[in-house]
Amino acid sequence: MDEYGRGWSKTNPVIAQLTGSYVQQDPEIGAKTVTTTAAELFAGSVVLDGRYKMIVYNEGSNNVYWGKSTITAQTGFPLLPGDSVVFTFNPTEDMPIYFIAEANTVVRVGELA
Amino acid sequence: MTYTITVNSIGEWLWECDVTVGELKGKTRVACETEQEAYDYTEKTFLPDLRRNYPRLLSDLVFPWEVVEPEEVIE
Repeated sequence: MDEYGRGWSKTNPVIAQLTGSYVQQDPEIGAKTVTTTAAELFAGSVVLDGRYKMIVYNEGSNNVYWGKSTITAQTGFPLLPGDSVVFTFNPTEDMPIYFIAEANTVVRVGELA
Repeated sequence: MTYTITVNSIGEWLWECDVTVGELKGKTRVACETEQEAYDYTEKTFLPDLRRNYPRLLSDLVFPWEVVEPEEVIE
């Protein structure tokens, strides 16, 4: 402790490391099919461990819709053909994002961790 | 190359599907009414997407509906 009650000083600094804000492992990229069944979306075979960002690009010709598990094509938030959306996550929390469409539509997904 | 799909209920209208194919393991969550719908999604959508994204691992994966029966020759 210094004279001000701080546990750090110029000669004894506290090192703080930021996590969840820059790429620390290989990104996961994949093409996924959004169908008329709502399902969580991620790029690989499982959700990328420690992901803090997910980018979804709709390369199909139909809208896709996203939201929580109860979404439908009538209630989800639309992602139009040719458009993309970015999700930011807390890397330590499990937070699935579900996608659904009115017809099978291919999207490109990128995950960063 | 064979695959196994296991479907477990994790909530109302929510299923967790585990997949093992070759040395690759996958897991996804599906929001639908029945276990059969979740299984069908995993087999007919999730697995084909895995094959497309992991061609070096899953190039030998052939689905039952892709098997072409030999034509019967009648002489």
